[in-house]
Amino acid sequence: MIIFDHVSKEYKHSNRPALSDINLTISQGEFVFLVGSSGSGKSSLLRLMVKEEKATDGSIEVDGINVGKLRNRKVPAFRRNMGIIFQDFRLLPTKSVFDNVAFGMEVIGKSRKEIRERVPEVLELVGLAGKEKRLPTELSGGEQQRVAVGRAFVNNPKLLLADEPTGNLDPATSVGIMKLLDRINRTGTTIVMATHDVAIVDQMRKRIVQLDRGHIVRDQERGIYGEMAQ
Amino acid sequence: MRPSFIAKELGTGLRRNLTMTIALVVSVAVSLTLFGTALLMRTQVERMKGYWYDKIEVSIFLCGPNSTAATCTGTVTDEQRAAIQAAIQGLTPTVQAWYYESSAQAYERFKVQFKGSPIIANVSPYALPESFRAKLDDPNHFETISSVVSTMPGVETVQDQRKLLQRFFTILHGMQTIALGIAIAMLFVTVLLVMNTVRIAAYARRRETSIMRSVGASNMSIRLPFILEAVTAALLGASAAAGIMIGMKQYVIDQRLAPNMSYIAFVTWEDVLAMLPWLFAAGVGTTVVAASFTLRRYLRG
Repeated sequence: MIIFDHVSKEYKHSNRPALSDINLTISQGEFVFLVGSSGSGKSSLLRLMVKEEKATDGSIEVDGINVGKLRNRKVPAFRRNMGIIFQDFRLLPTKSVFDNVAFGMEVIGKSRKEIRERVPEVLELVGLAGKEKRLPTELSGGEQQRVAVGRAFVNNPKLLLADEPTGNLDPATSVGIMKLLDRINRTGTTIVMATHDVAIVDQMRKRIVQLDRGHIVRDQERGIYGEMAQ
Repeated sequence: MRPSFIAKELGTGLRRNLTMTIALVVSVAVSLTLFGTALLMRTQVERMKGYWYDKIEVSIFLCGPNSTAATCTGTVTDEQRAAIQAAIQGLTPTVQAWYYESSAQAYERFKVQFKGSPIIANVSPYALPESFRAKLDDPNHFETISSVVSTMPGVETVQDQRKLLQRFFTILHGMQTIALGIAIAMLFVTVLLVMNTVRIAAYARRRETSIMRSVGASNMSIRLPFILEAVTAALLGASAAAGIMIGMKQYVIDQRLAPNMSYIAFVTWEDVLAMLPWLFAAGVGTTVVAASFTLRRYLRG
């Protein structure tokens, strides 16, 4: 699903590379945690996958597509196969829950009929049935993130990327979001999640890829965060 | 994207950016009114040229008793007059029509033209020279007739009325150039205003556009709402400008100027209506270009 082959990324005004010589393979249907301290390169890795950034060296393949060689005008179509979730939710404050989730379908030209069928399904899945008409400001943080997950998942992407999705949430709420992501993962969607939430990583027992100053220092199946100190 | 979704986004955008939208509409209206005025002035000058040139004659004044020109030896003789007339007739089709005006006829016309003026008392019927008046197919062909008849014995002088109008037209051309200059400056200001408005709108909606990008909206569908907003403002501005132009034609030209100045051929309704599409094209065209250019810079994928 995702193959990083000797990938390096350097930013112009930085004296050390954000990522250096990364080799990483993630298969279809996997759930992978990217862990590491701030500035270790987690977000750069995610940005390279969606072509928000271009690798300085090496090649990246996502879902059979060579991301480095992807033409700019083909980037939108490429991104339709993936959903992205952010730490700060990024909901549209003037739109209702329904419209926020529907937005993901509206902008890629889905018909009203498809939207009316699919959005309630997704709201049911993320546990927001009955709150369609609320505005984001009328929801708790956990509910807002559920809306964001719904929007990322509404087009049935093969790949879901999450950048610190529980960073703004309390532990109990975070667990709810993780259960939701786990459920989505079981439908066959690959999930790559950057986080430094120790409790969650330990609890989920999924594959862990740990980064430190741009290098992969650990890649472990069913790992726990605590082992990184060793 | 579905049209109804675009329309909804468009409405939201226009409302959110209301003050800038109003500024844009007014600016487009003012610059396009000037632009339209400049275009109409050119038509006006062409019309006046056509009208006046149509009335222009070449006057071939013949020698009188007091003439001092080298071609004159006292009053023109019958033979000389006949030769001149033959020469003029020989110049068909450059000369389309001609007639002879005697001193007495010239005096009659003079009396009508200066009716009520004391100058009439000072002019004797014989002081005005007799002449041939020739009408040319094109007033610019003056040289053709002048070169033939000006050296003939009995011709005192050949007068080109076109020269009298030239200075008048030079002034009109100057005014037209100034109006066009102001119009271009105003269009430039409008372009800057469009760029600024779009930039502010893009900044205000950076969250929305980043979400659109992350869910895979095409560049076109991300930019379209912004361009449509600018175009809507441009269309409103152009409509206002068109209204002003129509109003000026109706109330200023047709009702005030034309009845008092029957000797001027004013722009017709056809001229005004033919100019309106150019107003809209200029307004929408510059706006689309300015908005697209700005969006390329500020909404990079």
